[in-house]
Amino acid sequence: MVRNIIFIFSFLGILLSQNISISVDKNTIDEGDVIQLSIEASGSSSFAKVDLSLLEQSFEILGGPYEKSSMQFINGRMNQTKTLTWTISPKKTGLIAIPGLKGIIDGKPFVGKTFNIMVNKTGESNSEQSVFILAELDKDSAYLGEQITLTYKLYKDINTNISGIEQFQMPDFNGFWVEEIFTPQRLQYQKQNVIFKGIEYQVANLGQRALFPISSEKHIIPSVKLKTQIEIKRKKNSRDPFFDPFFDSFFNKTQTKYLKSNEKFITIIPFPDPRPDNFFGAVGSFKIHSEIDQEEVVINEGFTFKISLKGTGNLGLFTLPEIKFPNGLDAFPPNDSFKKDAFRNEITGSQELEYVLVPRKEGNFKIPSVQISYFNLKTKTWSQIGTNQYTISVKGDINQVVELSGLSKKEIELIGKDIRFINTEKIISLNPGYNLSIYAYLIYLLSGILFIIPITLARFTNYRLFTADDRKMKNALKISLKILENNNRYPFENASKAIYTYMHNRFLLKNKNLDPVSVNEMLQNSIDKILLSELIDLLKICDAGKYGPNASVKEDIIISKAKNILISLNKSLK
Amino acid sequence: MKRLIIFAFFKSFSLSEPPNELFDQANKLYIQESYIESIKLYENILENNKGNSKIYYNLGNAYFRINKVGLAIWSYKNALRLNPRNKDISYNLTIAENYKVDRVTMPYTSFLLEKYRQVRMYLTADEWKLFGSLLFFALALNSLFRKMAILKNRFSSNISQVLIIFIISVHILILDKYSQEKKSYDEAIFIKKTNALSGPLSDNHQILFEVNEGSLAEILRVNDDWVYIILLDGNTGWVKSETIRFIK
Repeated sequence: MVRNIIFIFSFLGILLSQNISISVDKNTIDEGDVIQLSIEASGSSSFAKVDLSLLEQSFEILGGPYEKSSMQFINGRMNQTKTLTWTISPKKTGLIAIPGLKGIIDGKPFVGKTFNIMVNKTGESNSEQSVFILAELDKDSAYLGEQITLTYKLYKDINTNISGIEQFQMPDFNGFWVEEIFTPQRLQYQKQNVIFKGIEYQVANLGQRALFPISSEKHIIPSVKLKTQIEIKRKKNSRDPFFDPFFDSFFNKTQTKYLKSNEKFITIIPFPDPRPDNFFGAVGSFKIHSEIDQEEVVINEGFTFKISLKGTGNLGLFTLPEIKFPNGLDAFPPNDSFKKDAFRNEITGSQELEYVLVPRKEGNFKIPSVQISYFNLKTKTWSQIGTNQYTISVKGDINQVVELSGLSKKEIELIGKDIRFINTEKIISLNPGYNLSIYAYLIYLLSGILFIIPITLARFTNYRLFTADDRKMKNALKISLKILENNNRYPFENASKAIYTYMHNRFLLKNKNLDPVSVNEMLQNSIDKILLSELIDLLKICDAGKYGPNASVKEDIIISKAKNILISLNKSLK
Repeated sequence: MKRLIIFAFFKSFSLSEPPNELFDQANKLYIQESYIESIKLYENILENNKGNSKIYYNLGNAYFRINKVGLAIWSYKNALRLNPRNKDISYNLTIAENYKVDRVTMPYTSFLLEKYRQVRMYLTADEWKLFGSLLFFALALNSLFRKMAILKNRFSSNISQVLIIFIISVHILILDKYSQEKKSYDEAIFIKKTNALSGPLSDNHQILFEVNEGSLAEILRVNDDWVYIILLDGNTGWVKSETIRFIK
């Protein structure tokens, strides 16, 4: 029980220790001054997350949040403080409320209290606005593409000293194409002072821009914001010798002040109708000039064609039109160069297009004239300018070796050649490959059948279309006669070989050695005796060979005899 | 089996009638130098029918005449795929390629690979198939003759060995050819100058490089109306699908 109570108390302690306080550094300020708004959370482990959208309705957040955390030990207990600080500036004058800020800290929501801030009017009412910024425009209304020169100027009372200005950024000019004319390196006042509303001011140029309106919904010159340090002179009435004006500068106080110029609006004047067709957006005053480096060229020899547009206006906001060169004249993509003349308040410069043209055919080529229209701001009318038209004569000189970069020899051969004529023959079939593939499949099928047929026939019908043995038996005579014809050097051996081969083939005898006796046994019953005896005699003569009686006489006739015997043997065996 | 054969024959003869009337009309328009009308007709023929190399060839000429080099190259490539040995098509293709602005240097290929490609290019896929089937038929005949002992010597067995080697290599080539043709569905020609971006949205992606018309690209991926392409020199980027035309 006691333990529980202690636990609850310690928990309460944690709860209570987490403390949020929201504060501002001052309640009454002058217009243009800033307020420090801080949210301090003690006893929390993280920074608060605050929703500032309510605050932004009436204040502008100039800086922050700046985070600061501190740690304290009191009586051995650690106390952590996390502070968030914003620099804010009121948007209006009068009594303004800082609304109750909502936020989350350590997962728990909190709501702050409301403050009232009194903002005193200065400036016009006090007629003593000592420092301010003006956005000066040379005109309030312009045509699209007409130059507007914008200068941001810092005005300063001669009695006020500015001890420093912070780096500032030029705002984004939406709806304009911006060219920089002048950007100061440091704050420098003009030599001559300017009287503005009866007061003498020193003026410093903060930057000058040439703005060219482009088509957009709104054309607003945004305000520029600048943080300055201003020295404030103390007004001392006492004639204290110590606070003599001589010492003033030692005791001057500096004050941070945010300066802001007013937004300005530009009215766009529409162009007078009718708008010319060849108007590409050029506004100002321009001159166009074209140049060609040679008028007579050899085929495949490059020459340059230059167009330059010079003048004052929105150069860079438009491009020169693409030129349609005649067929047979190859144009390489042009070199585009843009030059701007510095040190002028009006943007002046030149735009140059340089084409390299290569004639691919003989003959005369016309380079058309380039016509463009622009809106002349001096006369407020449309003006048209154009280049000259050129005629170039191209001579054919194919023999001359032409070196063109990027082309291989083969390609040069092709230059100037035309494609071949169309094929006007009738279309026989729309997809010639289709039939072919069907034939291919049929042939595959047929081949497959050819593979299978002999095997299946043998298996299922036991019938052999032809067998190798049949063929052997049939061809037995042929082979033996061939043997007889082939070799006449050893007639005896040859004749016996022919007969034995015949026997081998005719009776399908494999690896069996034959002699006259075995032949006699084999043929005893199948042929008549006269033929058999002739055959046996012949074989015997052959066995004896040239060592036998009357060998030389028999040698001559043995081959023909063997042939005759074989033929008649074959006949009688059928 | 019988049915299949009948079906195959039936199919081979039931092809639609060649649109010679339209083709003649388009050719007349071409001769009268009204190229744009002739293109419309040729494209119309191709839309309704399967391709024929003559139509693609004439279409390519018409595109070339109106300076659409990219589309001309596209047509010639299609024509050459259907009729690879036609000298006119390859000649016109080289001329059209010569008018390209981009000159992407082809990666180096060895002599053998180059020869192989030439051989592969020499016949269409179907012609190669027919050739392969004829070789197969020769092998079948050879084996039949050997079985029947009409041919039974060392020569015929050599023939069958040579044939088997040929058949295997030709069929590998056919497979390669088919896979190449399959792949060429993912090939496309640029038909206008375009910027390749780093992603398929024009607003928040950077321009990587510029491609001129006529360049060949391989399609890697398609995302709605954007395609991811790779050029021959290895550059990759996203382009709008309307700037390219697939090779059929």
